[in-house]
Amino acid sequence: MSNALSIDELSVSYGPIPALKNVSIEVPNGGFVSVLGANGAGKTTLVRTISGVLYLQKGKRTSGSIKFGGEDISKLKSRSIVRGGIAHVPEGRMLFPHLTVDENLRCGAASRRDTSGISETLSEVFDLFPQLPPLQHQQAGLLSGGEQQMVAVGRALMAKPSLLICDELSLGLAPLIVRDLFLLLDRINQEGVAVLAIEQNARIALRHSKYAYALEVGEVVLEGPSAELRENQEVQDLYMGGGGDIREAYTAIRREVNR
Amino acid sequence: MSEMTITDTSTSGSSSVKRVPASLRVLPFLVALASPLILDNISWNPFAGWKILVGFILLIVVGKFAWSTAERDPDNPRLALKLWHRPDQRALTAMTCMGLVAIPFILGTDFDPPMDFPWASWFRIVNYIVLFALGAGAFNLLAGYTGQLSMAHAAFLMIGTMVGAHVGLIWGQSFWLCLPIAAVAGAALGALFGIPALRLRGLYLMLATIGVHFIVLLGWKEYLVHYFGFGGVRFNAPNLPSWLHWVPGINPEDGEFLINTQFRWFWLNLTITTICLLFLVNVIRSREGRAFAAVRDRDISATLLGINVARSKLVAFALSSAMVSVSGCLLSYYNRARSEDSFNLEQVLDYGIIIVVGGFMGIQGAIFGSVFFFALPMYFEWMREELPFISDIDFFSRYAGEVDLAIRGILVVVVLVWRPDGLAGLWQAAKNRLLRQFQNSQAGAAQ
Ligand SMILES: Nc1ncnc2c1ncn2[C@@H]1O[C@H](COP(=O)(O)OP(=O)(O)O)[C@@H](O)[C@H]1O
Ligand SMILES: [Mg+2]
Repeated sequence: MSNALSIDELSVSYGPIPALKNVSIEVPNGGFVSVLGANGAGKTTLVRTISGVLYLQKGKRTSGSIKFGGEDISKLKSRSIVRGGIAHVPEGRMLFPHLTVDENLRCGAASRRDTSGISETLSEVFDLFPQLPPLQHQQAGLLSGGEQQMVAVGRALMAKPSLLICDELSLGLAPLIVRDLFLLLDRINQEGVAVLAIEQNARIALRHSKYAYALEVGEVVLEGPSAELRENQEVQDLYMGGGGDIREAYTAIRREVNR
Repeated sequence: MSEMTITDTSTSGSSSVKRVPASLRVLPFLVALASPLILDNISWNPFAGWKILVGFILLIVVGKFAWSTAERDPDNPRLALKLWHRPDQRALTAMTCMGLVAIPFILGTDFDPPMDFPWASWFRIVNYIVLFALGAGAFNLLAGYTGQLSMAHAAFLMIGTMVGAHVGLIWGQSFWLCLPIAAVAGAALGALFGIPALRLRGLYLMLATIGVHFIVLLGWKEYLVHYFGFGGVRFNAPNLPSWLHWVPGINPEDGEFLINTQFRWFWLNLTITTICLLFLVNVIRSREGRAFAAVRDRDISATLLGINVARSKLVAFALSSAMVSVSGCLLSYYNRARSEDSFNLEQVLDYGIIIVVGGFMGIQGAIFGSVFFFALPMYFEWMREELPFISDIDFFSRYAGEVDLAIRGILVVVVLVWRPDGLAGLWQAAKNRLLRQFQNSQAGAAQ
């Protein structure tokens, strides 16, 4: 069975405000795709729509379809989507601060029916993040940002996904830690899990992904193999420094106004 | 949760495996539970107060025994999931067991403390502590652990009372049947009244559940008028079923054993509270319990992970209400009388104070909070009436109730400013500190 994700002409709006306009994105089976875009471009909206939690933000899909493994998932509950194999590392990590690392990870397996396999997955996650076992019984809220992000990724992996979506993994983290996290994504990807990395940090995302899309004010403005985009002058100007600062400041202001 | 981690630095062989047969593992707890019998049957009496001394030695021995029969196996993840497996946890639990079974015997002795310290009334206080620990533990599961701020607590006390009155008095069934029926009724109505929680949260949910309180209060008043009249209900003493008459210490009169003394009530309350609280502790440690906390901390995140948030909330409501309802039934039989004004919104605040002072995040907090809530007023009263200087102050005796409330309020503020995680947090910190010191000294001795 193919586990490709294919989003076709998706439009989403929050009330009267459109957030995504005719967005089409493909993540092939076992692929590593990134979506770039400045603040407010609609990246998080895209992830929320895929994971079926858009309704919590009062958002609505106005047109388009989302297929995963050939099946339409746009009307499914988030629970069924996780069960179907799409796990989501939310923006800003969103751990359960009062639960321990171990409990946070176990919560990631909440949707699983094969309860007997959970301990095994837990030890696999601990193998992947050797920093975590010593922190197992600490409250997640007390960990450093990098450690929390690892727990967040580990928690998503506890569902044994075939597609892992990471929303701004690099947010607020030191460059070295971001690099380590992306190396881990590479490893996860090599084990056969498709990865969809949503990033503002185009430099690192383009280095690790195989294909990339650039999102701007809710629309895909550019797409292509990551290696090609890296060489592209426009991408360099817009997303890898050079004028980016002004643009970010602008979109940040717009975002505030829109609230 | 409330358990902080203690890195196992115990001496050199911390990585070694130690296995203990199951019979030896439970033995310290059996000794602890049988300690009153042991102490009662020693007929050796060289000096006054010998029992206290022997009891104290036995307490230490039991603790040490439980400590040394702890299993150790770093590679076995199942062991780490067990409730009381570390040596210190085992020792404390065994000593607590012994302390609990000793309480009624200590309080039952004819003893006249100096300065007229009210000895006999402590029994009543202890019984209330045990009963309120049950209700507060159930309240904590909902308000503290699942984060659903419900004010319908007294409503479920009323529901438990109504079940107790109807099944026990109107239908004339045994008291023992009232408890499970109260639990079922509480669970069903809890799930029903929990439905607003699917849409509302925080203050809004609080207001909605206040509405539930007044609806049930109306029902309770109507019920009283209809079945019992304005005088209220009088409950009769529960009768222990005859198949339990073999238990040591039970000597039925005329084939009946009525639970009508503080001593007897203590055992009943303790048993039911222990069973219910252990059940809650285990729920919290299960997948279901983790989901409760996940919903409390971040419900969006919980939804994303595939947790059924609506179901979690309703299960928490049902579970908590079932236990509150049981505690309401038990409290009413213990109190013997309930009338129209027995349940008011203030009671919900009492339970709120208990769990906030005791500690929001665990069942332990409910126990600490109940002790705080009931033991302190007793102290105040005694100090106000008996202590020289203080008893002379006219103001205190004139505004007794208000002064008590004010002091309690001040203490609540002090505890919360000092330790936001309440008395349970204080206790955990103190325990961890002692333990670390102990381990350091052992490590020092080993070198
Ligand atoms: N809950 C919401 N209600 C209304 N508008 C929203 C909401 N969330 C996001 N938006 C708007 O949708 C647009 C895209 O936001 P978002 O998906 O968060 O962007 P990104 O993740 O790329 O920063 C922004 O203009 C933002 O203001
Ligand atoms: Mg975003």
